[in-house]
Amino acid sequence: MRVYFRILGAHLRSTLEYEADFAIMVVAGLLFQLLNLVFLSAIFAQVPHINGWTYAECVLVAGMYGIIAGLSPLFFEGMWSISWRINKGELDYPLIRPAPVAAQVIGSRIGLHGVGDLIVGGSMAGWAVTQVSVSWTPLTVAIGLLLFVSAAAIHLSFVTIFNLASFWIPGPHPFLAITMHNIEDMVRYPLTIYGQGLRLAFTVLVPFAFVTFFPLVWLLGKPFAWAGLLTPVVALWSVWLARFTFRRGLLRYESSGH
Amino acid sequence: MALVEARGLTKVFRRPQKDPGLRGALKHLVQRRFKDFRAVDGIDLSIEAGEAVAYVGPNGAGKSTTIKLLTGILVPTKGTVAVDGHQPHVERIVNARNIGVLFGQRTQLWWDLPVRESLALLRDMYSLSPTFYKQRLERLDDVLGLGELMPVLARKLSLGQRMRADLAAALLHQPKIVYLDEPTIGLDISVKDRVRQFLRELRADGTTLMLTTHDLGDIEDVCERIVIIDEGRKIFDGPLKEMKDQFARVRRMHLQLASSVPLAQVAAVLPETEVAQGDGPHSVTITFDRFTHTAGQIVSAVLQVTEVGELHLDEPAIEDVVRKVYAGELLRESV
Ligand SMILES: Nc1ncnc2c1ncn2[C@@H]1O[C@H](COP(=O)(O)OP(=O)(O)OP(=O)(O)O)[C@@H](O)[C@H]1O
Ligand SMILES: [Mg+2]
Repeated sequence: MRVYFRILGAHLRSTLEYEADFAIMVVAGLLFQLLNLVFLSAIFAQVPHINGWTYAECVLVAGMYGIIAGLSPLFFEGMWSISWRINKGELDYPLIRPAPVAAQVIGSRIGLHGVGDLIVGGSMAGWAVTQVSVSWTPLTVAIGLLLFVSAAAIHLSFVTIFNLASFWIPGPHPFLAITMHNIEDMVRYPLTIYGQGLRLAFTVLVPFAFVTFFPLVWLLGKPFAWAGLLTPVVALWSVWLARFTFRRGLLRYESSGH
Repeated sequence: MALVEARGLTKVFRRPQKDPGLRGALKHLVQRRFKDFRAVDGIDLSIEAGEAVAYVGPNGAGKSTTIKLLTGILVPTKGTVAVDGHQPHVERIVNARNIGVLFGQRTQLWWDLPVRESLALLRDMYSLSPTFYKQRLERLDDVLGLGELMPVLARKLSLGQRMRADLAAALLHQPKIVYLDEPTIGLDISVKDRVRQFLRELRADGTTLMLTTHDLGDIEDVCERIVIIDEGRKIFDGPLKEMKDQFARVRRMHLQLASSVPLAQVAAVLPETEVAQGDGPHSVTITFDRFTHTAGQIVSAVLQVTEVGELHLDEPAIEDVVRKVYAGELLRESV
């Protein structure tokens, strides 16, 4: 952990030297999130709610995803480098150092565009929380936080797992991870708007439903609220699976010819 | 037990069998065919603490692959490795503290960071104390001239500067054993000398060394043991001197003759050798085959013609020997 933050910190300093880049990336993040908000507002100008989800509730879902999707590049961007590292044999040095390979890989990049997502996602969620009817008690806050952390862990675990696929599917680009990342974008909206098959897949197969939907179902007291409390369990499973995949992947690592 | 123990070390890579072109690529998607390729094939190797081993062989012989197996980067297909009693790819982190690794072709410095930051990151990873770190840097600065490189971004270093910084990075934690894969590749003569000087000092400190190189000048005064491999198999393992004695077949003797004698007269008493004019007026150089003549026979033959003043036998050049090995001539000659 210490090693990870040291590497990340060093890279943050070096990335910040490119100020223009930084500004552009933040603005890009902001615009992308705002565009989504405009889209959502346009729909709700026509209908009062979608499958029982009000505008504020939908904004909360999108906001929560914005926060998670913003934290991910800030703290986890390095994971996206794993496929070219495998392809180019760039895991050689991390493997001979006395620190976890994952920490070295994850810390090696910092995606500042996350700041934009974080700002808009945070504002959306912040506003929405004041609009939805939740009776806040210390316990709700505590569980809410636990569910949020678990949700983020699930997201990051699956970013990891899909990127690690490059150990088995050789190639310099993380195609599977990119595809799955785009698919995960669907959790920006309440899952109820999708068909049964998709909902089932997102719950059982790849538990993206636990990244936003189920934790908020619990918070908002919707049907199946109890399912939200499974989020930490799903998180534990996801983290375990990611670690296991990493171990197995490293055993297959072949370096490069020179 | 030796510091490094490898038994029957084998690495098989699976190579996809593709026909050329897009059609081949598509066909491979549907019908995957692979061929096994043995890069390292049953290598036994023990290295005692304090030894300096040169690991040589032609391109593609399996040198780098062996190093990757010994350092735990690759998992052996067959065979075992133990370094200081630890299996590198299983006890990765324990092993990492014992070893230092440099791949001359590739840097371990963080590309966008100044050298100073990279070294500081390594300090944290190895949990070095501030005093130890400072002391180490001073020591490395002496031999490698790090000072001027410290504030420079890794991507802006020249090759020679990069190699110096990389050597420092590999040795910062004072590892017991250091693996250097082509540490002088692409360096100019003066930087090369500096690196060699550094290796000699490392030796003197008692660090165990394993070195692969194509520049045999690197090993002559650093290593006393040489291991030669080809096509993944070990074909020689022993003292450098022994290898020369055993396999350097062509010898060269320089003689200072007492009087001026025509070369032809000397050549007449020495069939099957090559007699040439030497540097001085009365000197000759005789090139002979060690398996057909001994040095003594040469001298006594010359003595029949004239008195001999000075006499000097060239050390066999290691290049000559290794060149023959690469050409596949070694084994036949040795029997
Ligand atoms: N990751 C890999 N995948 C497939 N084949 C590989 C891989 N790494 C090495 N090889 C093959 O194994 C053989 C040995 O390679 P290696 O890099 O160990 O040779 P080397 O002795 O270091 O050669 P050089 O002197 O050129 O550096 C080569 O034929 C190479 O093509
Ligand atoms: Mg090599």
